[in-house]
Amino acid sequence: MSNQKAIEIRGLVKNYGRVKALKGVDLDVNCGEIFGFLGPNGAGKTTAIRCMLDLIRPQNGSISMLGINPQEEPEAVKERVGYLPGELHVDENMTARQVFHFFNRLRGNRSDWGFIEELSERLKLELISPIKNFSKGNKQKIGIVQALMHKPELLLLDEPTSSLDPLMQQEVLRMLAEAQDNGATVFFSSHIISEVQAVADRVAIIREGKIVEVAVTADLLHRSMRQVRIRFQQPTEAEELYKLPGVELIAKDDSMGILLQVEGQMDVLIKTLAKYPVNDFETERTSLEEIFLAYYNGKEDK
Amino acid sequence: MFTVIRYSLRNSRGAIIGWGIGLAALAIMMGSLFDMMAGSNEMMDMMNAYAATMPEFAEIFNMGAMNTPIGWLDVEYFSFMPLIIGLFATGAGASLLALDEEGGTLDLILAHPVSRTVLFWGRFLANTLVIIILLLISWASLLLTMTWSENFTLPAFELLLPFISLFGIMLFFTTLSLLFSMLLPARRTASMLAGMLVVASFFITLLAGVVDELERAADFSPLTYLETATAIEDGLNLVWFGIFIAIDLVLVLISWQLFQRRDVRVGGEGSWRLQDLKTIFVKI
Repeated sequence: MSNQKAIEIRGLVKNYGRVKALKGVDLDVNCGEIFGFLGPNGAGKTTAIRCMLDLIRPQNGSISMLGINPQEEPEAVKERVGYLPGELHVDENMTARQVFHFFNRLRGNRSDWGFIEELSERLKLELISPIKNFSKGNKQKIGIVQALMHKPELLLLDEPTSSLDPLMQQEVLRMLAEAQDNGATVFFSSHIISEVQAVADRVAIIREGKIVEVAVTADLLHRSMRQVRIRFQQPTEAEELYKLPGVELIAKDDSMGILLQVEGQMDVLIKTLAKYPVNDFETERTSLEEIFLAYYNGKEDK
Repeated sequence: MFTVIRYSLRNSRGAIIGWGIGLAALAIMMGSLFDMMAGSNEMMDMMNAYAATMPEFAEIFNMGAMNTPIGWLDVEYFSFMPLIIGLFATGAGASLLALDEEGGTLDLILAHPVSRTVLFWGRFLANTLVIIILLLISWASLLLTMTWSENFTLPAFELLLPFISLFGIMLFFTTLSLLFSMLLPARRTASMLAGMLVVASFFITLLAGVVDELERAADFSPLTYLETATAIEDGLNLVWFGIFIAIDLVLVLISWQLFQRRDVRVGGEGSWRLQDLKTIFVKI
């Protein structure tokens, strides 16, 4: 992974009338990484992506895509980018094949038709039926193929696995990993945290138009809180434990069991716990989902 | 640009076929009916009776000239043709980009390496070509009628001139409708507003000859400047045609600038875009 930036955003502000969609977004995405962009509906994910492609114009801030300013040279950016919109709309009177032909022509016939067929086959996409007969999931597959078919350097995917069944979701995630192996940068937004956790090298969390966290996915998981479930051998009052710094009592099962949330190192807790007769000790790392929810509940407000 | 034009024309196939058949049928019917008119003394007597008893009505429709091919076309064909094709032109103008934007397909098209300028002018040229094709179908249908008609004969080139005049005015309504679609929240609103102007222009021009109060208003009605019989007899007034083409160009340039600046919607209807117009004038 190189240190060159595929996406560099500084102070991005976008308002829709009185609604402030982006309130000064700063973001760096390195070349060659898979970057997850997390946030619920209305947080500003789609707005940020559409600004990157010059589909909408920000009021303030700067964007650099592969070293190019999309406001100044939008075609140069789009030449090198594959985009999947959050809501895919295509001419439904056409077939998938006709759609790919059309988009390929717009790109100067750069795509290898064999690759298009390979992607379609992997996604079990019917190429010759009119799109109006397609399910939502099959329409989504068209979006995925058109985004990948010209082997772009940068993929901007807005909720790529939405409407897909679990098998197809896995296939799409494999395709993204393969694109990364071939040198592409993948930037994808999602509110399906498990898939971000599964494939993203780094993640950003956006809340109400502001980035509240950017971190390596593994680091975020490691430095995050853990849940510790302790079962004592006999009824025990262990108030001392949850008065330790970084330790919080979540629940008491009964007089013999407690559930704690621990932030940071486990060392002090383990040493203190050594004084007590313990029957069972389970620790569980917080999932990205819980971290994400913590941000949205304001527990880790920055 | 070629791909955009080709794709736009492909999407207009239905409109070309549907409107083309309708307009051809209208032209053939009107051309064929002239034989009945010209060969019927009773019909001419009836026209003369109209002129004697209802002079205003006869004047509106220029009934005294209906026994000549030029007069017949002027009254029976070119009176209503602008209204018919005008409604097509306003619908097509409003749909040029706003239809795809409201349908959400514009978003993905513009995410490809095609500039807004190429998309705009490609679509506009394709739409202009569709209007030209429809006018040519109408002209050719009238020519076709002449092959079997005994009385309906006119020189082909001279017959083309009213269609050229009509083209300039139809392009005006197309570009006006396009401009409205760049400023108003919905394509339908733009199309409806431009369509209302076509209808208003039609009635103002039609009635201005007999209602004195409408004479001044008729000066501002585009259809007043449509040349039909005069174009066939005296040739096209290139000054007025040029003025209309210039106005069309101004309207389309403003629309193009608005499209360059606008935020592309993901789908559905949007909000008023009058502030976009302000940015152009501030820039100028």
